[in-house]
Formats: sequence, C-alpha cells, structure tokens
Amino acid sequence: MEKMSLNLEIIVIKDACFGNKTYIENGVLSINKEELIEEVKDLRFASIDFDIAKPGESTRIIPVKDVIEPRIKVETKGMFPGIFDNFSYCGIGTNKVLRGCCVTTAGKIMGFQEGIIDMSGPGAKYCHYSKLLNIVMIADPIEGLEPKEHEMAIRHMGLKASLYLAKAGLNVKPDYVETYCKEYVSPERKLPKIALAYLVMAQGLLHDNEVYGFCSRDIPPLLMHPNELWDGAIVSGNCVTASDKNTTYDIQNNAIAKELYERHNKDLEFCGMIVSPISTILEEKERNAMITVNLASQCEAEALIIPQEGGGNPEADLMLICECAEKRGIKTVLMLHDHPGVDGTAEPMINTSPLANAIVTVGNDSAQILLPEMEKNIGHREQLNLLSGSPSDCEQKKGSIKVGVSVIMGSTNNLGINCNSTEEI
Amino acid sequence: MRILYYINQFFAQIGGENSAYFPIEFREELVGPGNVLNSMLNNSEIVVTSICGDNYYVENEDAVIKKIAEAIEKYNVDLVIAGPAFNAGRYGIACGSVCKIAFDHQKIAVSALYEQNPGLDIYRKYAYIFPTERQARDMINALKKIATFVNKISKGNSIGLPEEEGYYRRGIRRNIFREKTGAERAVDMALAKVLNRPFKTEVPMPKFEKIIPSRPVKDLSKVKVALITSGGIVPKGNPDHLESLNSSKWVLYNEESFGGNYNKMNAEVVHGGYDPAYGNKNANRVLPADAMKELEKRNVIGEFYENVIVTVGNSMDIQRATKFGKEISQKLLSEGVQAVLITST
Repeated sequence: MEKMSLNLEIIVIKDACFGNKTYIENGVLSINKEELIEEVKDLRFASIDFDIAKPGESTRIIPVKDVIEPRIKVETKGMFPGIFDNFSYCGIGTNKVLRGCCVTTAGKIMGFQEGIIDMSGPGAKYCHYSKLLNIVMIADPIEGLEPKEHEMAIRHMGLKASLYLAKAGLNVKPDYVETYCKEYVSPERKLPKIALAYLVMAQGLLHDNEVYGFCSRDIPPLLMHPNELWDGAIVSGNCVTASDKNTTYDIQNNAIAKELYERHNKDLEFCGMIVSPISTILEEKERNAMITVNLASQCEAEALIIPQEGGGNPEADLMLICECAEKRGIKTVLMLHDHPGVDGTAEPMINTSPLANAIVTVGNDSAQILLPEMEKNIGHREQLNLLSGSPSDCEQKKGSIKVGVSVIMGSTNNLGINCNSTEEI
Repeated sequence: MRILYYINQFFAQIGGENSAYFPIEFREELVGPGNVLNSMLNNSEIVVTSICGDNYYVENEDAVIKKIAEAIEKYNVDLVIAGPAFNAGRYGIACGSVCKIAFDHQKIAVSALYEQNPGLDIYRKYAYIFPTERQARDMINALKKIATFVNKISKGNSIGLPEEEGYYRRGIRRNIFREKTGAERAVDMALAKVLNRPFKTEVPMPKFEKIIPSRPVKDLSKVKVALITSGGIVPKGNPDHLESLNSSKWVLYNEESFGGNYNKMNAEVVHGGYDPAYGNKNANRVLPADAMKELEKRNVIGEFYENVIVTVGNSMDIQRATKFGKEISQKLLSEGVQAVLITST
C-alpha cells in the first residue's frame, strides 16, 4: 500500500507584468490580460478588470474578498476537486505552485465584511499578503444580482484566474521541490502524538467554506489528510471579518498543518487532521465536538490543537471540544484572537472553560490603527465606511483613515500564519 | 510633547484641608512640583497646569471632567501627568480620574502613587502609574521616575512591560508582534503540555462578575414590556449609521421609523456577523415587534412599549455591553417598563 505523497514543485515568482503572452521566464510572470479576462468572463458581471500590486508600493486594494495561491495539478491540469478538478488525485501526485504571488479578488462590496490590503505602510506590518505580488481581479456585478450568486460567482472566478496563471508554470522547471509524505514514526522514539482539529466556518451566506465542492454546512467532521489542503480540497466562501477568516491562500498554506508536518518524526508525530464545521446550531456544535474528539481518539492523539475561524460564536465550539477532549485525557491548545475592546480593557474572551488553560492568541482586532492615504487605490476606495470594523469617523484628515485592525486582511489569522499577538501590561 | 500637569490645592501651595474646596483652575505657568518636573523633561514641556481642591473635585466631578477635557483640546495636549499623590486618598482618586480623562481622549497619562492609595486599583488600567513611598519626602524620586518615562516616550521608543519599565501592572491588553508565528507557538505549547513541561497561556481565563438575575414577573398581563435586539435591524438606509461590527451605540426606534407598520417593516440588517438574507426579507424574524403587538392585543402582556431598542452585537466586548445594558435599563425604567424581551442572532 502506498503512503499518500504529494510533490509541490515551487516556481518562485519575483515579478509580474501584463504582456502579449502568458508565460513565466526567469521568475517573471507575464500575463495576457485580455485572455485572462476571457477565461473568467461571466455575464453576471458588468465589468471585469485586472491590475497588479507589488510589495512596497503605495497601493491599497479594497474591498478584498479572497486571496488564492496559483497551483495546478500536473496529472489532471486542474485544481480544487469538486469545483475545477475531478476526484482522482486529491492529496497525491505533483502540483506546480507559483510562490510569491497570489490572485486577489476585489470589487463592489457584497456584505459588510471584506477588507483591505496595504502594500506598504503601517497596515502592511499586519498583513502577510502585502509581501506577495497581488494579481488583483476587480469584478463588479450587474444590477440586482442576488448576494448569494454574487459571492459564489466571484469565488469561482478567482479560482479560475489562479488556475489560468498556474497553467503557465506547467512546463517550467521548479526552483525547488517540497515533498509531503508523512513518514512512518517508530514507536520506540516515543514521540508525542499531536492532532489538528481544523474548524471551518459554516454559518450561511458569506460565512461558508467549500469542502470538496460541498457546502461546509453539509458535512460532518471528517478525517482529512493535510495534503488535501495543499490540493485545494477546501476553498473559502467566507467573507466574515477580514482579519479573522481563512482565505483560500491561508487554507492552501495551513500554517499549523505545515508546522506539524515540518516537525513530524523530529520532535512529534503528526497523527491526524480532523476538519469540522462551525455550525450556528447548539446541537450540531455538540455533535461535531463529540465526533471530532472521537476521531482524534482514533488517531491516538495525546494533544489536539484547535484553531477557530472567525470569532465570538466559534468560541463556543472551542470550549465544547476542549472540555470533551480534556475529560478524555487529550490535552488541548486553543487558537483564537482575543477581543478586549478598542482600548484593551475589556475581558478578552466571551466563552470560557476552566479546562482551557493553554491558549495562543493571534491579536486583538478591535484595536484601532491610523493608516495613511495611498497613492493608488485598486477597487472601490469609497466603500471604506462599509467594511466591518470601520468606525463612523473612519475618514480622517488628508485622506488618512482610522480603522479597526479587523479591516486588514489576515491581521488576526487564527491559523497563526503570522506573529501577531497580544500581551497584558 | 505638550503636557497638561494636574496637582491639588496643597501642592499648588494654596493651602491644606481648609482649601480643599478650591475650584478648578488652569494656569499657563509652572506651579509647585511642576517647576522641578519641567526641568527634568527633554523634548517636552508643561504647557498648562491644572489645580483643583480635592473636595471640589469629588463634589463636582462631571463639571471638572468636562473642563479638563476642554483644556486637553484647547492646549493641544499630547500627554497628561497627575500627582504624585503618595498615600493621599482623595488626591490619588482625583489623579486617577484625570488619567482616565486623558485615556478616554486617546492620550497617554502618567502618575505616581503609593501602592495602598485607593486611586491605584480604581484607575490603574488607564495610566502608567509609578510606585512611590508613603510620604511626600519621596517627591524628587517620584518626579524622576515620571520624567524618565516621559522622556523615553517623547523619543518615540516603544513602551516595555511593567517589569521592565517599573510601572504598576495595568491589567489591559495590547497588540504586539512575537518572535515566533502563532502556529509555531501552538505546537510548542502542545508539546509542553504532553511532556509536562512548563508553559504559559497567552490568555488567562477571565473571571466574570456574578450577576444576580431579577425576580420573575408575577403577572405579565399587568406589565409594560419592551423589545430589544442585538441583531441590527434598522430602517432601510441605516440613517443613524449603526456600525456592522464594534457598534458604538444603541438606538431607539418606533413604528414610524420603519414606515408606520411593525407588521410590515421597511428595514434592513446591518449586523455583519450572520447571514442577512432572512432578516432582510422579513425583519420580524429578528425583531418580532408584530408578535409583541399581538401579545398586547390578547392581553398576554399588559403593554408593549412603543419604542424598540436596537444595537449590533457583532464583536461587542463585555465592558461595552455592560455599559449599554446599564444605560438602556435607566431609559426603560424612566418609561415605566418592567420587563424586556431581548432577541439576538
């Protein structure tokens, strides 16, 4: 029996530009804009355009919906099983990855959430996407398009765009290869067995994810192989607060799964990954907590790392799983962002448990930050006041803005992809 | 930096207990310890000194707070220093209160108190408060601590932890960037837990105040009941700009606000934390004012209070929720309301 093994052939993209042909040479991604627009064209959209934002530029992208890393599976020429790929090679085989760049979807706001990416300035410090070459798609819907259709359409257009770009990497020699295969760990080594309970938002319009093409609300907790995340098995349909949701990029690069993989057979054994939806219904939360812990138990997990997605309501899931696991002798570490209010004086959490004694916090997204005006705005700068986390006096002098850290994409990413945190003084 | 310096009647050399009712005044000059303090400052100066009698402060708190806030604005103040108050209770409380005014206006406040001064526990979270000895003979040391700290801030240096800088623990949380990513820290913590090694949680469990619920209503048919929602149902167009997250206000609406009929509301959902589709189609799903009217008609409830109260609960911190709860209760009590129905999402 073969172990699941996936090769990621990494092509490092150092620069990007528009040109007559779409191809990659010497790390430069050249894009035929007309062809790309033709590829993603959808009659539900009155206008579609693309632009490029580079790290260090005085550029702001607003409102941002999703961010995707261009990847393509060599065996099928597809990606995202259940959406733009069939179900033959998920988690195995070889992918080409364009690293250093991303497709960022933007356009008129569809809900209150959505966020900004500043390519430089104080905002960039909080944002891991500011370090990437952003190939931005700006798509505005026709009049009267229902929000549900609007969201799903843009979601899939972004994925299509990323697949189109990744195709250019098919015959390009990679700069290096990452091989993901969980090797056998000898029991004699007595390495601690750690599992990941990866919770995905499943709370309705603009608060959903897609798992193998299914709506996340329609699945029970599943045992999944982390390689499947690298293959786009889970895609973000979640526009909940820009700071604390997981973009497709964050899922493709799940930081905790990566860290556990990195240390597998070194100082730990990465014994399993359970993907569980965060429902609005209490009974479902309780059911999913039990199934998650049962699956972790079957993986012989000695510890379970549990990141939330979003905040507030999902804290209930964290505590339910924590208590269920700890009572069964499985140690837990919770990951969340705390919210002690704008001035840091309020209680940092709303749901608690005396058993939750190990918590990693990725920051306070209620804290406010003053950001300067940018020379270039891609998208709809005038919609700043509609973003979730913009106070009513968000527009300040000379075009500068005062916003909650919550409007910055990924600033309090619960998967811990960056170093943001809080401390008590 | 431009500094507002606050002292009481004693340190302003106006008098002792007999001058404790000295009304608040502002002088564009150095007074009392302000002379020494100012000489210790680099890159900063005291631009206005505020003097107030300890008793006057306590008995006219609202008016005094207003005047100090105005002075902060008028003199373009960057930072506020109050005291040192050593172990003087009323003075310590006044200093703390001044620090809170600065905090509420997003200005840094610095003070110095003896550890048993009652002002410390009440106001420690609003300022950087340095320890002093019991008696005023510790004045020079206390001023040195304040000045050293202020000089550090004025150079633009970041402020370290209480153990590093010497101020009393404030008990508030601030954003920082750690050396390792959240993912690395989580895996480290999991390993430490399994291997029984020491680890430190980044968020200790908060202790919540125990709230005693009110007694149950004896006879609902004789009672005026109000309807509150944290689900963010507002008149179409959101005329009062209720924010979709971290809402800064609660608003009173009536049937007119929604087009004249609670049974067919002209409304929209502004709460950013749930799927708005169903609420947008029929606001009564979140704000059942139609049902309340019916319950009144059937005399299940005595009276349906004509106004509804709306806010957005999305990401609301506990402190703010408590504040809103207190304000809303005051309003409802003044209108003779005796019970409320609260809907959330």
